[in-house]
Amino acid sequence: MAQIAHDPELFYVASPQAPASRRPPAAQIGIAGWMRENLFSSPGNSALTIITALVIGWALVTTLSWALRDAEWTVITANLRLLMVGQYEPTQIWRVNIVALVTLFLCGGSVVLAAGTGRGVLIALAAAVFALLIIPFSAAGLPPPPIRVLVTPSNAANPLLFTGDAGQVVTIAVEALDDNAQVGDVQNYVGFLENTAGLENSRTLWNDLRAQVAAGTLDLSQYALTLDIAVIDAAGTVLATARSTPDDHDATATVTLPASGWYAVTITRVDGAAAGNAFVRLDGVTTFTTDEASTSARLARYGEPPLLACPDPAADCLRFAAERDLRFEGSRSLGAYLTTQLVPFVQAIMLPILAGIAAVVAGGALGAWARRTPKVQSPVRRGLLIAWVVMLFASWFVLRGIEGSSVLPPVSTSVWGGLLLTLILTVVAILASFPLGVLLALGRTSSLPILSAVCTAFIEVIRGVPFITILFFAKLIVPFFISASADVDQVIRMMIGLSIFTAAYLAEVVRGGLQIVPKGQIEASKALGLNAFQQTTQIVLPQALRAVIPAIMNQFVALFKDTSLVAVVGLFELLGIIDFIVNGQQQFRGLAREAYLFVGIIYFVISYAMSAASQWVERTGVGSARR
Amino acid sequence: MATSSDLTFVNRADLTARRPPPRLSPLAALLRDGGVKRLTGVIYFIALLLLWDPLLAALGIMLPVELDGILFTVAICAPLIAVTLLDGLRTQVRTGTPFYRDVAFLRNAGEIVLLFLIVQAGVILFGNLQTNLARSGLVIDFGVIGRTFGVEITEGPDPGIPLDVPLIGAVLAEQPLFRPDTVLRALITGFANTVSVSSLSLIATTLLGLFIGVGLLSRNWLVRTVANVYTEIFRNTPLLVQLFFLYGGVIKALPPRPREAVELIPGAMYVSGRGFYYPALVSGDNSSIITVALLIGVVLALVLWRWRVSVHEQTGQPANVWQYILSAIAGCGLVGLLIASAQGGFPYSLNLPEVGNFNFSGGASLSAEYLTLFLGLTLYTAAFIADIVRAGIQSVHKGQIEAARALGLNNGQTLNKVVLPQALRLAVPPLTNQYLNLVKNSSLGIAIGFTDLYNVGTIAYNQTGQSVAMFAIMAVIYLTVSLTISFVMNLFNGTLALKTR
Repeated sequence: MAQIAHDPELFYVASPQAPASRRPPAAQIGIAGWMRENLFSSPGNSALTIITALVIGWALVTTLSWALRDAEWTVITANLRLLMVGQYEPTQIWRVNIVALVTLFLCGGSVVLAAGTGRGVLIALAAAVFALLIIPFSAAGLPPPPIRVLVTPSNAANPLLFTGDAGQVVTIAVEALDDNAQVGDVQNYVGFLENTAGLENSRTLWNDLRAQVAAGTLDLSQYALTLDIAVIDAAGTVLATARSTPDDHDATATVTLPASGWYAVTITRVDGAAAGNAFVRLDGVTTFTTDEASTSARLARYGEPPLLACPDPAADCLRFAAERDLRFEGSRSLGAYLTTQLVPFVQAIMLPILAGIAAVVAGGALGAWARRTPKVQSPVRRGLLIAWVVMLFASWFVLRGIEGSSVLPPVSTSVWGGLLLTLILTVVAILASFPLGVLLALGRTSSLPILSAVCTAFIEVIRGVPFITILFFAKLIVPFFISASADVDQVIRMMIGLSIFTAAYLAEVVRGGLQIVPKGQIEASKALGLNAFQQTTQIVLPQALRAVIPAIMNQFVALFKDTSLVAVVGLFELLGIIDFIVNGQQQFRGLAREAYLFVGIIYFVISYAMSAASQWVERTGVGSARR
Repeated sequence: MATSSDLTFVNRADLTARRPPPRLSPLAALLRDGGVKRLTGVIYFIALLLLWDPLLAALGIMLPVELDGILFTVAICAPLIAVTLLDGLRTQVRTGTPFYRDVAFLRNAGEIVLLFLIVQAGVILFGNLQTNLARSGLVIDFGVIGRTFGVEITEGPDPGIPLDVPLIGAVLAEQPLFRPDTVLRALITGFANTVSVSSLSLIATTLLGLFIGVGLLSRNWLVRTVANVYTEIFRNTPLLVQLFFLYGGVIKALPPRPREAVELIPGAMYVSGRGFYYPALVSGDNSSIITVALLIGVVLALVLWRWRVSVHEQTGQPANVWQYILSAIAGCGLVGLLIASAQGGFPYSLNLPEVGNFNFSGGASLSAEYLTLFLGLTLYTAAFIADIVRAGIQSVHKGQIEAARALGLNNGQTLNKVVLPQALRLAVPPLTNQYLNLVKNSSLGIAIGFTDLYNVGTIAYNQTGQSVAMFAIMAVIYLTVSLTISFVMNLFNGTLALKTR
């Protein structure tokens, strides 16, 4: 036998060790790989990415710099109550709060019981609480932004009142325009108080001035002012004074406040000239918020504001260093944004939001407990359901009040407004339109000719005209059709309009659902001896409605957005109240952009939450027909 | 063993013979027809509605209001009651089933109750209307459209100048209703504005929606995210908020003075707080040559189209219809342009807007309200259209695209011949809804003071107090527009529908 030559090279011998795992090329994994695949997969794609990034980057930078440096968010902070509840009696707002807290508690309970708690939700809640607490805390050490007071030819600024604590250092200085005025200097003037010189819009004057400086047409000889500025305390004692003369503009006075209390800055024109403007700048003065809680806290701490001598005692001459009057022209520092815009807003919303989160968490805890303990699960579920029904009816009486009651005096619907009215309109219209829509859909698909014709005509007419026509119809024409004795108030008429409109669209959605119920189901139910009513309520509707839950939810989102249209017929809901705020109050003129943006964000958050809920229902299969 | 004839069932009926339908007299056939029944019912209803009061007056009967209403309702329902009862009794005689156990009878009885309730409700509401009108001293007068409309409309065709319509203009202008500054003329202007802004936004929003919809499916993460954020933002905020923000926060916040206007294209396009200014196309005297040339081009294109289709069908060669059509029209246009230029200079010129002290001179312009409404409607509806486009494209099965690739179609062909036809079929019905919504949403222009149909109607109501008449007129116009769009889109949908053999 020939010996087979064993060439070890010819055989594959598995090595006892597994080969070392090799990483995929660095360009295919991690951030680099992801970017390569999703952003730079081809030259065209790379170009697209770069162009989009540039456009988006520009848009983001523009928006953010506007929001942080130019926008006057005080319009929101100062009007938070109007935005939330409209002109609801301020003494009765506890009723709204109770309804809101109970609703949030029930929401927390129901959602956790049905869906469980996602870790993401908990983290988001914790983050919200953390942010609410940390923002005011972190901004506490920042110096307040300088405040400028405009001195006009006709009117030196009235005494400007502010509160100060012992040891606080306040500096006042005159910023006059002189022969060396440059456009650059002028642009850097930021942060002035509106309404301090009997002037409604110092911004316009300032812009005109700036334009004149830029064009070189400003007669600077008119700006040779002589001003006396002084800091006085509540008793009128002068603590520090300085004089600015044409030869020496830069008058500055610094004072360390001796005690806590009210102080004032007075400015007197000595030259008696009838031309020229100037700014007086205040450093170290904290502007104060004007909401009720802060005002009463201030009264308790510093006492009543003193009645200092006014040039004209008859006029309402006291001016306060109020935050809502502080305007910015040019660019504002991030510190100024934090101290004058963000922190007051956070302080204003902190308590309500924390209470709301607490209610949600309490409800969620109840839900989680019931979810873990099978024994209590169904009683809690039933309890929550009953609580919802009771709450919906009870809240109407709580909000509307009961005639002759001392605890719940009636609150007219005409003062309902803001987010409160928007939500009430939405909830009522959802509750009313759903059954109406289902009935209309059943009527339209019915084999009875007259019923079907009437329902079809109703649905098509409503769907064929713009929603606003229906609202005007509800406002102007419906009163003609109601007998004179029954005077239905405006809010209720709008609710009817909204419900009818939504019902017509819902009917079409439900009709789509009815069409997908297989005919065999109906035949089977007939074979089982169910009558028409049982067949509809027990066989057809459950399947039809379940199939169209996402579409129904979309309709409700549309309804929520459509409530904004009642603003056009004169209700002060979330959108309508903006006009009241921005055009009805002198100091908020021209701040429509901020207000609409804020309201847009509220609408977005609620609509998005509703859409997300509908997508969740669609995804988890609660809504899909059983297979 | 049984014979085969025992086992086999032989159908001896002659299937080819037709049984004649039961013979009915023409009159009976007519009566059986549901349509005739319904029509008779409607005619009876209308006749009674119109003749009831004169009839009572002629008979000299005076009834209390409540009794009058109930009697009227009964009279309306009477024929139905009679027919139903007769039918029920006939069934009882024929079959012995008591009529109250007959399903057909019960159904009809239910319908009669419904009709009774509806008519009674109508009578009560109408009665209220009359009492309230009488109390407020108002008479519903549709002649309101002939009254004077006292507000100047600066947008669209001026209602203040005599009507100038080709052919029938002279006759129409004589009519009192069509005189300058009547409510009807104002309504026509408002309608023209509604149509103008709606149609312009319709085109723009379709393009933008298509663009963003494709972006939603992009393989590029950034583009996809941006498109997603766009749709979420615009779908989840009310259109009215967007309009107010655009109007009060963006366009009205621009400086109103011409000198400070934003130059989009230096010297040609400006946006200021008062509106949008752009070059106007001015056609010279000899521009009619171009029109004629283009018409010839269209005719030529039609001929070429027929020819290419027949060539394609007979030989299977690619038809390339669009190439032929476009080159025919463009060629003829070019020839026309050359002729016109040779005769008397270039036939078209641009009239650029010029910055003046208080206003722009020259050029064409859109008002700030028009611009806002156009932008608002376009941006808002595009978000919805994008989602429809995405759903449509996603609905096309991946296998279809793979099959198209396997057949050797390139990207463009795959998109044009495989993906789009199938995607469109799914997308057209929801697209119709969005178009209808856009037209209806244009009525929101009233919130920013755009003089559309709705705004004109409201002003006319405010001036005349004729709320019922004005709202009836507006509802009819909007319904007509809605139904027309539905009809057109249904036709389009019909041409797209799956053609099965």
